[in-house]
Amino acid sequence: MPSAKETASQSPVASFEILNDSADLLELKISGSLNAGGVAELWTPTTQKIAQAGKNIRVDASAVNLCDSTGAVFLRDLQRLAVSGGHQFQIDNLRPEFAKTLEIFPIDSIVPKKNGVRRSPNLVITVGEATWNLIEDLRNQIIFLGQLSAALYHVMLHPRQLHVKKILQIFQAAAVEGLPIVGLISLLTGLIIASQSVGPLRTYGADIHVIYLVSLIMFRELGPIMTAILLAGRTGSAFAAEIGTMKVNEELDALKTMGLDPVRFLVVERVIAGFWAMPFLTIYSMLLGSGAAFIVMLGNGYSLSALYVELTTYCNVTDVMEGMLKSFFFGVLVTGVGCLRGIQTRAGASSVGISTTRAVVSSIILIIASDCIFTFISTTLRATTVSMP
Amino acid sequence: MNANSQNPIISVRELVAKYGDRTVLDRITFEVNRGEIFIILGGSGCGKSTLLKYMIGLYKPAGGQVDIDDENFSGADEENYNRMLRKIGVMYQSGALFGSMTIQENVRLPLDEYTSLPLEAKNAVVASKLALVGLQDSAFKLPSELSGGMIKRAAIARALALNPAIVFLDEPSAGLDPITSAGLDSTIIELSRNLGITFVIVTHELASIYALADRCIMLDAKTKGIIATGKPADLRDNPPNDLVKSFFHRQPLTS
Repeated sequence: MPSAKETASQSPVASFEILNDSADLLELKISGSLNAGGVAELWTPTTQKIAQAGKNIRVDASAVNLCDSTGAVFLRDLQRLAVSGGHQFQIDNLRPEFAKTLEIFPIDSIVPKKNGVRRSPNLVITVGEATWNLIEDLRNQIIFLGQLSAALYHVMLHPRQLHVKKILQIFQAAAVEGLPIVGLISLLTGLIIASQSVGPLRTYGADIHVIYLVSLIMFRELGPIMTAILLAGRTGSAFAAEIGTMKVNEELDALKTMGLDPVRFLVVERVIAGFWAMPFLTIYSMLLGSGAAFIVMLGNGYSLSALYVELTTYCNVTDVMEGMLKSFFFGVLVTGVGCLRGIQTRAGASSVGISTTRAVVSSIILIIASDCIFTFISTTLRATTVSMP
Repeated sequence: MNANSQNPIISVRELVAKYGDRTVLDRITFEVNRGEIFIILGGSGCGKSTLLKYMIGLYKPAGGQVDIDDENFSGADEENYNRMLRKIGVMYQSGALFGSMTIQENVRLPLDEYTSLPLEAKNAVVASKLALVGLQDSAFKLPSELSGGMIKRAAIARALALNPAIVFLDEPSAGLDPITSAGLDSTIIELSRNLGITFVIVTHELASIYALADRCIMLDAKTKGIIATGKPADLRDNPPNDLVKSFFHRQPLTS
């Protein structure tokens, strides 16, 4: 099936011929249909011819059988080329109805005006703007943190203003409906790490420690981190899109004019739901990740009791608590960032997409950065505890 | 006036429009003449915009058909539908300009897709269309940088990009101040008179109806059909029923 573009170019075509090319006059005869198809064929050769000619131009349009607005623009462009070179331009024998169309498009109407053209910024400006935006973003995050703290304090003093049903709905969407994906990813990650570790550790006769290795890493690090990243992808992005669309539709402005604080009205409930959703999902992730290591080791011939003893000997409640502490923090972080990016949305549909992307990217960066700080603190504390007499 | 009553460009015959099981329009029949400004009017929720969407082929009718230039448009296969789409341009209520593109890129988009014109030719055509609607200075702005009236005018320029024979406008003056609205009305009249374009306009703005319409039809949500046809001044002076009278005299319906 021919495309629309091909069909256009196959429609009745136009042509031109040179009637007279004397020292001071170029006479052209244009024939056929001056519509989009005809003009597409004529534009380049005729404009080149006139630009190179450097003399007065006369066009015989007696054989033009159609001239729509595209044709009128074409004839005006030929005129513009001739006149801009200081030469005269004349069209003869154009049918009256086409001449009327030509009148609608004066010569200055076909020249794109360049005011407002966006120039590509140079490197210095780009780097400067990026740095400034980073500082501005950091400032906005601090302001948002203050607003969120104030709003949380307010609802602590006025707990009846909290919409518990809304919190439960958000919790269901974020946590309960997130169980399958968190479970799948955690199970597969546990299986992969256990399967890859068992070989190297067997070389040293330490393959029983796979349970210790996988469980420790799931309890302390991967459980909360993976869950937080999944929460950022599923829930943080959804919050950014939802609040961003509200911003585009001026719903946030409506809240403000009704005297309602958007942070208190839209963010607090989401952050509270995220605060409880993250540990809920993290426990589940820890159990399935560690359980995957049990499956691998049972497959390698170890008994359940031996694996249980290994786990309880080397891992303790502190490891789980460390992961859970992170999970509460990550829950607030991911949902807060998602809401912040939504609030920062500018005008237009593309802004919502940008906010969604920024919500996920910012969350992941902040999750990893804050996890490094957590790990540094916990490692220091453990070293201090061990070295104490 | 260019309207030619012997030569309808659009024929809507026995059109039935439904959303699910709910019938919105029931066996609507009317014709739009070549070169006229035809207005579809009626109260909120009577199915004006729905009728427009059926006329531009966004929805398939549950019954009846829409013909454009004596060809079945509503029942056309994909190839014919795409060919016939080039005869129409549409301006949506919100303008529906693409926010990430400049006004020049928005208007050039149909030319990029449907013509083989070189870039400088396309830019010249875009400039000429923007000049028609008085937006030549805004070619390199983004839609977010324009006012509501300018967005609507840019949307009309985009609808005109491929020199369509028919332009459909959905609520062109909604949300505009009277001065901007009157300016837009003048643009539409000039385009119709100078380029012979047929306009089908959905609106309930009385001032625009009087200024623009060669002919109009009025829809009614209760009967799901046309309750009046004719020139707006005639309908105002000799309303065929109370609803038409209330509409044209801006009076609340008493019964």
